[in-house]
Amino acid sequence: MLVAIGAAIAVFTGIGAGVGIGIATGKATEAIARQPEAAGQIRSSMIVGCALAEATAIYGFITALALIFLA
Amino acid sequence: MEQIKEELTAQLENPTAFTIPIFGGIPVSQSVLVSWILIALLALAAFLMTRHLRQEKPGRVQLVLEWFVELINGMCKSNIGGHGRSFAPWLGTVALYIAVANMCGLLGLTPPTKNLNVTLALALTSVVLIYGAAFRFKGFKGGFRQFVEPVPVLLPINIMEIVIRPLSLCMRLFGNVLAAFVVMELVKLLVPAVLPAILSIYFDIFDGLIQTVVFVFLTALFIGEALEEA
Amino acid sequence: MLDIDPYTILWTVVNLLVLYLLMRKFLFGPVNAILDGRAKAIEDGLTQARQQQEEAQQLHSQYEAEIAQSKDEASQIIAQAKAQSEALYQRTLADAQAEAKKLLEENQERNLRDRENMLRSVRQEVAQLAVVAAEKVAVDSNQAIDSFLQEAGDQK
Repeated sequence: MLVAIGAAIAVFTGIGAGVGIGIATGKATEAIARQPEAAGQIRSSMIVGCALAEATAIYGFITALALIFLA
Repeated sequence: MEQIKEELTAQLENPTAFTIPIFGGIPVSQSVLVSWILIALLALAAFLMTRHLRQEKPGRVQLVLEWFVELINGMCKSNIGGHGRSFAPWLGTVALYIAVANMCGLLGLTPPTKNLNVTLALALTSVVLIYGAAFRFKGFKGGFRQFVEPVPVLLPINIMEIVIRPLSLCMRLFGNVLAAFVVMELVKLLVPAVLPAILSIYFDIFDGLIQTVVFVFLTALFIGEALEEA
Repeated sequence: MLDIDPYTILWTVVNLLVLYLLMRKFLFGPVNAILDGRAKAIEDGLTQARQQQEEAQQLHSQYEAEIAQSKDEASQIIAQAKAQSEALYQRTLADAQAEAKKLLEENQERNLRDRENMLRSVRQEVAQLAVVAAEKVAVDSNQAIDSFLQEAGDQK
């Protein structure tokens, strides 16, 4: 039971990643609206940023899985 | 709950496909076997597609190949700089491998990238490439100097990065594929039809390609950073 | 799930190296060769075109210079010819004049000489004639005298 709660807490890292990716995408959209000619560069840096932000969610998820399956 | 857990555990294992009976037996895991199949397919496709290359009036297949190669070359050049061209074939190979490995679920094969060891190997080669690049192109001294840049105080952090970078590269790829797989399994348990097919397009194709781009892009970025003239 | 398996890691590294060699041989090598070849061909074409243009420009200016030179030469030749012909004309004229003058003088001289000669011969002739006449007269008169005398003798 406690393991399940721990896993749930670990998965809360997804909140940060979600907010971070939301902010990054919003800013990127703004930037593209302001400078459509730089869309390619903005998109590539946004993807990298999103991937980095997403990594935290993934770490949380793996921690949760590890808690459930290995504990 | 227990049933799902057991089923998932069974799915997530990395079973050994067979054992080569030399040197006391070398186990070949299923991921490696699938990788061999993918490598064979890739090599065959590349061999067949590049047989009739023409310098003038390229065919449709050749245009796709040229687009891909130029994409990789351009990405290496913009992120790594002058030496980018020498890294392009390797990064292109890694991109092809990760892409087909992520998407081979569509063919009914188990994605090799679902195996932590495969992504770990990918990340390790990337790290060897990143830190080796500095030694190769900046000399022995320049290779060591990258650990005390921009200021010597950052030495511990730079050394920690040697571990953190492959770990994050490896975990990101593995976690994404694993998460996609687990979510797909859960969805299949709840809704057995239609929805899994739609979701598999997102997880297998879109997410697979995004992770490929991210992996190669980050590797190129790190190499560019290592080769940056101080 | 999270267990580390060194064999799989090793196999994957080997797989990647094999795939790298295969891709370099069958994909990146040929395609890059084609791309480089095309870039080189375009570059060569551009260079060649530029070179040819330069050559053409050079030839053009060369021809123009040659044409200008030949024009110059032509006008020079014409001027020279004109001058030459003028000189020739003048000389011919002068020669002709001189000749004419000489001829005239000669004529005059000859005329003069002729006249003198004629005069002289005339004078000589006259003298001769006079002598002859005188002779004749003398002979005649002798004869006349003789005949007269004879006649006179006869009559008597």
